[in-house]
Amino acid sequence: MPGLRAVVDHHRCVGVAMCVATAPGAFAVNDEGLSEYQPGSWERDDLVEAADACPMSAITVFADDVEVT
Amino acid sequence: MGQGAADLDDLLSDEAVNRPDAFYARLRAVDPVYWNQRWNGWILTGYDDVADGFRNHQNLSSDRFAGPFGEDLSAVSSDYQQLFGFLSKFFVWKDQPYHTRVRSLVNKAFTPRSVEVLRPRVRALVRDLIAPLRAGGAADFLAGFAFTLPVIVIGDYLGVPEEGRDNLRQWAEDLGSVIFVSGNDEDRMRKGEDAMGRLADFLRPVIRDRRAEPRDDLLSGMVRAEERGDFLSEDELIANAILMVFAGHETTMNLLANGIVAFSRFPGQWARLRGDPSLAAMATEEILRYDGPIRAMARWAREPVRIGGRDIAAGDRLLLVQYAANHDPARFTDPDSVDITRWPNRHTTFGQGIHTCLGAPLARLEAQEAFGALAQAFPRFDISEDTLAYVPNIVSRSLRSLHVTFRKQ
Repeated sequence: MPGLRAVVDHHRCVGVAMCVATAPGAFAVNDEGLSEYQPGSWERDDLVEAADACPMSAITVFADDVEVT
Repeated sequence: MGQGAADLDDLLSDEAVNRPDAFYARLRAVDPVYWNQRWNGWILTGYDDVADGFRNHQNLSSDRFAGPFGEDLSAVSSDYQQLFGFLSKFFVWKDQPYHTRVRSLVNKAFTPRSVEVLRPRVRALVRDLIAPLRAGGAADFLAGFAFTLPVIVIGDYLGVPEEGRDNLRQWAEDLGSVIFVSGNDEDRMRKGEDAMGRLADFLRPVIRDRRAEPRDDLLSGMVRAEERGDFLSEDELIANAILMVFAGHETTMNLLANGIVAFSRFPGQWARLRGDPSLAAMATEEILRYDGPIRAMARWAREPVRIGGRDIAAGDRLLLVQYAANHDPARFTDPDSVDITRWPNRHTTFGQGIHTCLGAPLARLEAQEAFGALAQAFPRFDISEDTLAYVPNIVSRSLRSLHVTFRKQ
């Protein structure tokens, strides 16, 4: 899907990594132990599921800059 | 060793238990990665070091049945088979990859979106629990409100039969004194063994009922996961249901009680919340930071690791002091004051990293509803205790008693 992306808010993320467990590859834990979105050709449903799985509500998914979560 | 050093080694001193802001500020000033001779491990009190410790599950283990903590227990575990049999199956104390397999099974039930469906029920419960507080006089807030709300909510959500709930508090207390208090004295262990046995006897038939006739509750969901062959044996299922019953109310009870004490010290913040109910979510985060229900969590180093410029050896214990991290002035401006609009407010009260509290979204929801509705109902209140006394233990921050007089004007 064009313009599909996720943003991880590092004011909220504490590195629970449920996004990594839910959508492996689309999210990865950085050196600080916090999650980072990895741009790629991911399925929208997978990104949305990862955003939903976040206990800290730290992930927002955008499609063509419109918020979908 | 000098007098000052000996004092800082006493994690159960009156100051450490009842004035942790002063105690941990002193400890952090002396050494943010402090070797405590008596606890026989490192005490971490700086925000960055505590956060690093929580996020470093590769090197720092949560397994209480291995390493130095396991050695402490091995001497007594054969005498208390129910207790240790089930405790050792709590997924909170498991490392990877097992931990994340179990967490992934239950995580869906505890996401912010999933627990949101409980909000109307929680709101109604809060309204019912506030009604008797309007009568005036010193109310037993701990028993009448702070205990009751979370135990009903988690009981409903899991699908625990109502008739058992009166017993849950005693069992949970007996279990808590094993889990939260260090040392292995016989009376405590015997009570813990008894409580664990009763909890398991109580839950086993419920789980078997759910297997025969699934309902729309979390126990049924866990049974379905077990039936799909997803790792959980019946005993593992029972153990983790006990974990959720226990974790689902003890901590939330203390959050609600500690919050009332916090607001009593900062009545202007109570007035702010009353004036703008939309601040309930941020206010809850600030209460979690200022005086959350958990003081500290332990880890041990599986491998040598460097934290805060200090070399930690394999096999060393570490105490990650969340209370101290949350009051670190290097991270939070004016940390010993309550500011219900504080942002960012990435406190450590739920832990961080893969072991971050599973129930955090549910605890948040309950506290938001409770603080929000109490502030609407009562413009003022007074703590009706001569002195506030906290249970002397290293892990939890729990009041012995909290009576409150709520005022309608």
